Amino acid sequence: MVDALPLERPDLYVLARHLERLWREGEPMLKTRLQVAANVNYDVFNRYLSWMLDRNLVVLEDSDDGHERVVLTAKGREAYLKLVQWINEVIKEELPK
Amino acid sequence: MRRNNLLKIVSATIVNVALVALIVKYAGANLTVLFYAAFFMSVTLWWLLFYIIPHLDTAAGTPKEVLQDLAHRLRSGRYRVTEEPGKLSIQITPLVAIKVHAVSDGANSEILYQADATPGGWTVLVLLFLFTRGFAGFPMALYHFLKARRFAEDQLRPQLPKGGVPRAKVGAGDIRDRLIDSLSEGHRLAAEAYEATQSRYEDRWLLLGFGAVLLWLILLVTLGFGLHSNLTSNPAYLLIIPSAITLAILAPSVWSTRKWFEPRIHDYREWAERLRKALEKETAHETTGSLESSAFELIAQAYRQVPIWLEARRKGSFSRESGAWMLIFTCAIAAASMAFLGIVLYSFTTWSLGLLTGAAALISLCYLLYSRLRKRANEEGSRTLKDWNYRLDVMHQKMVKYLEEL
Repeated sequence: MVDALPLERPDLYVLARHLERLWREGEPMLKTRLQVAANVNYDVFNRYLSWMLDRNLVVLEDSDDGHERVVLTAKGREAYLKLVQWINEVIKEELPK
Repeated sequence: MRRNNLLKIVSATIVNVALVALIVKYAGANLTVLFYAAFFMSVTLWWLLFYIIPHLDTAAGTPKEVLQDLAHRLRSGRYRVTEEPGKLSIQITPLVAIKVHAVSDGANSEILYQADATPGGWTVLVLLFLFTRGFAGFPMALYHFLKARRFAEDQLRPQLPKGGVPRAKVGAGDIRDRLIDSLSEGHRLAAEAYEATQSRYEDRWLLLGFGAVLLWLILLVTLGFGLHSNLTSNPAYLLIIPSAITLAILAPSVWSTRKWFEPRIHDYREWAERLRKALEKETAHETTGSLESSAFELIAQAYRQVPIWLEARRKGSFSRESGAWMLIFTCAIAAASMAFLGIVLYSFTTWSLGLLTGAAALISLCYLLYSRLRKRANEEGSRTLKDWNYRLDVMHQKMVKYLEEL
């Protein structure tokens, strides 16, 4: 289980990094691999994981090898999609010539 | 053939025949007439090749949907695409571009194409037109048209949605599509900023070279004709002194030009490369390496640079203020000619004082026009920056609020 200090307000880019990595992987991901991929230390990773678990963006899954893996939920995918959509809309607005 | 195209061809032919008839009437039928007839024919064909808009196909969906879908597919194929209301502009080669128009046709859209050139392509076309009196411009325009037609037939037609709903509607929620679009737009803006700045840098070198030769000649003539001291009567000194003065005056300009341009060019090129690599990975469906920033972060960082890129692109665009720049250029040439004549004739006639005064007045006018242009450009630049930062802040607030409410 994740036992970390609660995260008051997540950094948008760090959170997006976690969600993007899980989305790209497309399958359950080892916690340590996700931590390395997100380029954060263990303590920070745990706080973000806890924050995402609380909001049901990800779930933890036990695997046969005894390691816990992180899975992106439909809500997590939707959250990442929303962030990507908004950033895309900024450039879609008419640019000055 | 669409009625508009037919109208363009007929009107161009009428104008062409009328001009040749006028020349024959006033100059008689001779070689000169043949020359002008061929010239007008070349110019007319040149104009037609860029202004006729042939029909390509019909696609399912509204014009907006079809163009969005096509833009996405082309960006996935790593083409540089600019979206404009009712049309797309696609760069095919460094010189050739194509415009794709979509017009509503009931439930479908009629797709049309038009040959176009990139800024570099237009420069080559205009230079060819000026130096060959239009004759070499025509084959080049024909090349653009054929290249655009081939691209339309081979690349565009197979990608048009033939039935059902276009993909832009079906896959509107796809994350990868959005990332590709955002990365591609970022790459296009960074690459355009790089190309515009590189072009300005080359122009600046050309201008410095031209200025150096002009200054050297003026100094040579001034020393040769204006002064008759022992120092300048020696041919060796007559060459060394203007060269040394020219070098001393131009060296700081060369230094400041390099100092200003090179870091910017390097920066824009780096950004364009980073975005291109990310785009390639995304279109190849690769997963990014563990320590690289995410595509989302890269896009967010790149978008902070957009006002700078827009400004660089605007500064490199001669066409936007072409009228004012032509006026400045003409005044500068006239001022240089008057100053040159004034100096040469200084010992022979009092008219030279008038010429020098006229040159000074023209230089003042040039400066006045230039400072007005610069002031307006600075105002526009700060407005763009403010507007863009506002857009980014609104987006950021929206995202943070969404995360808080999760």
